[in-house]
Amino acid sequence: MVTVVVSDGVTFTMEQDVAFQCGLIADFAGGGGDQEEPIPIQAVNSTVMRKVIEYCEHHRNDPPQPEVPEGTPLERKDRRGRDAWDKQFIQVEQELLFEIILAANYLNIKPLLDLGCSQVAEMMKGKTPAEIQQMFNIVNGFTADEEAQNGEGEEKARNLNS
Amino acid sequence: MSKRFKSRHHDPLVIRASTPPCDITRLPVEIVAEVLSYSFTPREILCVARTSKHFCSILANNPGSDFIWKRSRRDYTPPIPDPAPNLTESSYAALIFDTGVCEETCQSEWRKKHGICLARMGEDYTEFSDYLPRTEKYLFAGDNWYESYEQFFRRSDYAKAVKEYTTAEFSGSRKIKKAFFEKLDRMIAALKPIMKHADSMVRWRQEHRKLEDGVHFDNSRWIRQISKREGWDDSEVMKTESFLRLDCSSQVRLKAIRNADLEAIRPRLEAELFARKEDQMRQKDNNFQRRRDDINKHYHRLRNAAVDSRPFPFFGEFLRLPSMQSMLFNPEAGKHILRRLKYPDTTAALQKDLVEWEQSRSQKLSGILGFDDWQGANDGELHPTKRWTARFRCKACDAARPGGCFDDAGLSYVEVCNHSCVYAETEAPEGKGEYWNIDQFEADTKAIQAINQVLTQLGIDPGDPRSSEIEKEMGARIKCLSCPMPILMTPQIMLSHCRRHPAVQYAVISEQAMAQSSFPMLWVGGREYVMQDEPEAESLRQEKVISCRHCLLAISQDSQELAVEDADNDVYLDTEGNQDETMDISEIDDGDHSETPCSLRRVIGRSEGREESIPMEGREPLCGATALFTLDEFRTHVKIRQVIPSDIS
Repeated sequence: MVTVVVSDGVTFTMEQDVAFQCGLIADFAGGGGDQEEPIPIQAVNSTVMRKVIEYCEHHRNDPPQPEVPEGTPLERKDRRGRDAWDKQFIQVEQELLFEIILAANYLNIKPLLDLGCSQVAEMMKGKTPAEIQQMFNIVNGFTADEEAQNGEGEEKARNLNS
Repeated sequence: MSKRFKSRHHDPLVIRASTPPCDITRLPVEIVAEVLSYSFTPREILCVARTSKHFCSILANNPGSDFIWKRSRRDYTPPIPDPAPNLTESSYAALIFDTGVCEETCQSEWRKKHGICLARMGEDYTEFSDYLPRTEKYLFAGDNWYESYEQFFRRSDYAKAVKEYTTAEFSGSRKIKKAFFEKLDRMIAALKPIMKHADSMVRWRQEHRKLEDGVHFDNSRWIRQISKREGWDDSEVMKTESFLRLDCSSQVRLKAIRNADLEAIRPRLEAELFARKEDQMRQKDNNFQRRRDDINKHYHRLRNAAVDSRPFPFFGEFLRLPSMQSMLFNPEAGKHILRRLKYPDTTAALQKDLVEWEQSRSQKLSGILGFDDWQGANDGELHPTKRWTARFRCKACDAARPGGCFDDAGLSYVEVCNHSCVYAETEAPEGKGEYWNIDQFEADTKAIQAINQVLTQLGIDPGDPRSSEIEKEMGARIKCLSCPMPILMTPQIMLSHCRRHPAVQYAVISEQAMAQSSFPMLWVGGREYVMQDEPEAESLRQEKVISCRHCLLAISQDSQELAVEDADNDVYLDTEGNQDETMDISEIDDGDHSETPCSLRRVIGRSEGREESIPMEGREPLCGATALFTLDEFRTHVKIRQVIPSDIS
């Protein structure tokens, strides 16, 4: 069993095969038996950690993910490892989604990182700059001149989109 | 503005708290790159870069993010060639995917104004072509790409180059010349890869265009199949904004439309289709109405110009003529239908239709008159419908008028053809009054018998062309033998009068007898004429022109009970059986304007159904039979006499 303590002080205990899907924990544990000392994970809070553990538990019996070789066409990459459960799992609030992505990146869980990134990509694809801004509450921060220049580009992009 | 307000609205923390957090900007560059690795096209990456300064700094003009663009270009279909050395990845993407043309070089107009062709350069200056930016070798025109043998330079670049070359050449300084040619070499070296890239870009665009066209073709074929399944009009679907956007976006993505895409736009698409259908219906109705209005204008123009002696269809009938139908129901007839109606071919077709229409009317009406098999004239014999005896009645009109058409003269052939009956029951779309049906007419037997009596006495056959002139020229030579008091009348009045008696008998008197006759002449409509508000009628009312036929009658008939039917001579009683002393001539004018005594009876109607005829025997006339009255005198006379005059003689 592996025990972790997250940023808000909550302790999680999980089985080794679940815990070792996180590269960071596997590195901490050194690949050996039960870890008695709780592993501190300060970059992740308990809410996100629960989701991460849920993901890891669901995929505990998955075969190891083959490395995607450099130069794999994006079309194929886009479809890897997303089943119905994953799609349901990742349908969360934006704030939690980005927390999961950051946690997956920090804990080094590649499939979860891919899942989060593909979800964000799906939300952004085919959208105009204005639509993306609205979707993610992005404040553009451009000056008036830059805005005008961008507007011209956006107009062109919209023409292409429409 | 208060200090408090100012401080609150300029505190960045306050602003930050009021706007929702933007979590995506918290992602580090490597995760942004990972997100953008999911089939993002350079165009989509460009859109992300344009969302904020944060993303712009990460993605645009940042060599660190070039791998994102390169990967995207590599995976694009067809792969996008590397950018020219003078372009960054982001500006290259903008050049490719933003719409518009650079410097309008592709436009022939630009070439004429600002371009100069390599082939037309002076031989001495062809070497400039190596270092002047020029149009690509492959050009796009219409729907085709072609390899151009005419490459164009900016006229301004060329002029500048010539000036620099001339200055260097004629400076006389070897140093200046050397510097100039060194500069040329540098420019040539810089331009070569740019031009090479430009050519490869043009080829890429050509290939890309082919793929876009292929996707568009697949989309069109697919939507036709879907439209067939859904019962949509595929040409309409392809015109809807939602489908056009979907098709365009599909071409940009180079991916054919899928069912899921259609499902996403289905509600909007169906709403658009419905709106388009409604719009088309409205447009169709408007166009139809406009064509109808134009035909109506033309109709009135023709009708005004038509000869009175020939029948002319009323508008409902006119619209049913084949030439007009082809105009009315042909959406291709266009906006300028009034002009088309005046074209010689249309005019000829309309004339032909009108002739056929008249023949058809004439044939049907002959049948009503009992000339079903009339085969043609002998020695100028008149067609049955052209004779004086061609008199008709409208059954619907007769049935609709309470009390019947007692004093109605009926309809001549022309009138019957033009008769638009407001009473006839019809389900014709044009409604009542626009529908003509042969079944609604019958021969006016009373009028025909009366005319035949007159013609027989004159010794003229009804088919004789002279008979049609009789009506106009005869004058008041017809004497009614059925009236208790003889009166004279013209042929026109006879047609109204003949209905007053069950079996009317007329005699034709000679012109001389007519001139010497002291019999009053029946003036149908005289009462209305005298009562109208016209100066002539006003003066007539002041003159002694009114005589009392009842008084005349009282003298001429000694002891004869009056026939109920001969309403001229009735004495009307009120509902109590007393003579109505309140009746006067003005009361007559209040209601029915019919000229008949019967209608008088209706106006006075309070005694309707209770009238009785009383014998005049023994009653002393209160005035001289030949006395003439003014209107006021006549009113007094009526009150004293307590009789109602029906006609004024």
